[in-house]
Amino acid sequence: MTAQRFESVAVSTRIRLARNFKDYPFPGKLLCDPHAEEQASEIIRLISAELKALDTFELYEMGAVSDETAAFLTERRLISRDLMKHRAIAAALVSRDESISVMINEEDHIRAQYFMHGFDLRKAYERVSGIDDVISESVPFAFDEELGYLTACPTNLGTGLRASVMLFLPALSRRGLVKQLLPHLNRLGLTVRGEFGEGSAAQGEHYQISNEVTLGLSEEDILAVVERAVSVVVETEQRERARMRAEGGAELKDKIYRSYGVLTNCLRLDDAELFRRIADLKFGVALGFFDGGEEDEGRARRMGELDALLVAMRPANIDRLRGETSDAEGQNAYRAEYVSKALRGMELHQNR
Amino acid sequence: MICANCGKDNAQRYTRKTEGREVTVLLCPSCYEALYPKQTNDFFTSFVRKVGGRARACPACGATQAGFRRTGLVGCAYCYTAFREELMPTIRYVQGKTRHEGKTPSEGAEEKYDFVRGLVNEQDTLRERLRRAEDEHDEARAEALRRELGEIDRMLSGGEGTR
Repeated sequence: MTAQRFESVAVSTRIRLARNFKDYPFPGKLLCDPHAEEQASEIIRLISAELKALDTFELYEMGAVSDETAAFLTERRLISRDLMKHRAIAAALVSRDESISVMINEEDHIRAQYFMHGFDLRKAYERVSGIDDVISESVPFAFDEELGYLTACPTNLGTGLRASVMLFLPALSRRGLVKQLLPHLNRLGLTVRGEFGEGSAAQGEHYQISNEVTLGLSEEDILAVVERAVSVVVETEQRERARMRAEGGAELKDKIYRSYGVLTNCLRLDDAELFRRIADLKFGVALGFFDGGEEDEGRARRMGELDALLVAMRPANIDRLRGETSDAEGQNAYRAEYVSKALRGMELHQNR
Repeated sequence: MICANCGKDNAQRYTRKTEGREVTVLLCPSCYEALYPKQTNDFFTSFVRKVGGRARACPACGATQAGFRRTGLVGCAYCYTAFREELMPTIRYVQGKTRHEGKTPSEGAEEKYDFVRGLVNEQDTLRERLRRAEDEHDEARAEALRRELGEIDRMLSGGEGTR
């Protein structure tokens, strides 16, 4: 299978490591400490100082950050929703290209993540492990010979490693087959979630596969299991797509072209509809319903542009683009206009 | 009204949706809460609530097992030593294995830690003094402090004389 065929299914790769300082209470407990802010500030300064050697990072101290900025960062998946629960002691360091983000004092003292488009668990792990090495040079981590890296929640013990791959599964989900895959993945110690991790529902047919087990398997083993499982899911999705294409799919084509029609002509567009319709368009691009002669590479690029549109058109991201806070009505109008213009610029010609 | 579960005479009428239709149940508030808990989906939290053990606190951070049962989180690294026996069944259940494989932290962090911590705290003091010098328009003093801060910055980002 070519890299491009992978890319139209495996949207992005994300790896995070959970680490804690040996001598400080974990953040949940630290919050109750009378010296919490002092200790937190020391943790934040120490990590910032260590990371300086790696890249240029923007430091967000959550106590000083507006709700709008926090929502903006959450929508871009640079911080979690939970980080704001520890607002008084929490911070985030984000690299210029947004590929690295280090959350400080979320559930653990350090949650370092590396994010990339496409599917490359090895590269992602190498990057995040490099960050870990730098911090680990001068921060004594909470570590136990038997239990590995110690974390606030026992579900992250051992390696503290969570490897996630975001998959676009329109064929499997339209045929109701995602549910059938779940027990197989669970048996391998993997879990399937919506886009925003724990507790979030799948949106726009995007599903995140990640390892559940973090202890008793080496980083290498964890990556290998996720990698193999993703390969199987990608193959299954591709086969289902091929079947749908072979079965003619006039109805499917009609649905996809209608979505294109709506997105390029509507005057009001909410978040949920955008997700649904963009999923249609991405599926159409993947199946070759647009731009007949286009090669795989061009398709992957177009799908990437559509993905970027989904991020840029989230509510807080819209406000950032407009430079003002607006209500849902204002955002819906702006979203409709922006998306219509962007899509026309992409020149998605129907391949009837 | 009599509670349909415990028989006490303090039942209330609750309306719920079950399999698409509305049903009315007569239960006392505590039975209602027990039969229809709000967080039915959080299996892990329910699971750790079942962890037994005596009521004691971690000598390092004061966290208790009751706290763990409530949140599913321990308070500090030492909790794993203090409550190891009680935590092991949960760890075994959620992880399957209980012996770490893989990466270990680099050695020698302890020594560098104090050094870096010293520098970071020094940086803080100097920044405060710089702010004051700038407020007082003492340019010569501010310049000297900026030089000192630059020096610390170089040391922290791995320049000469650190690693």
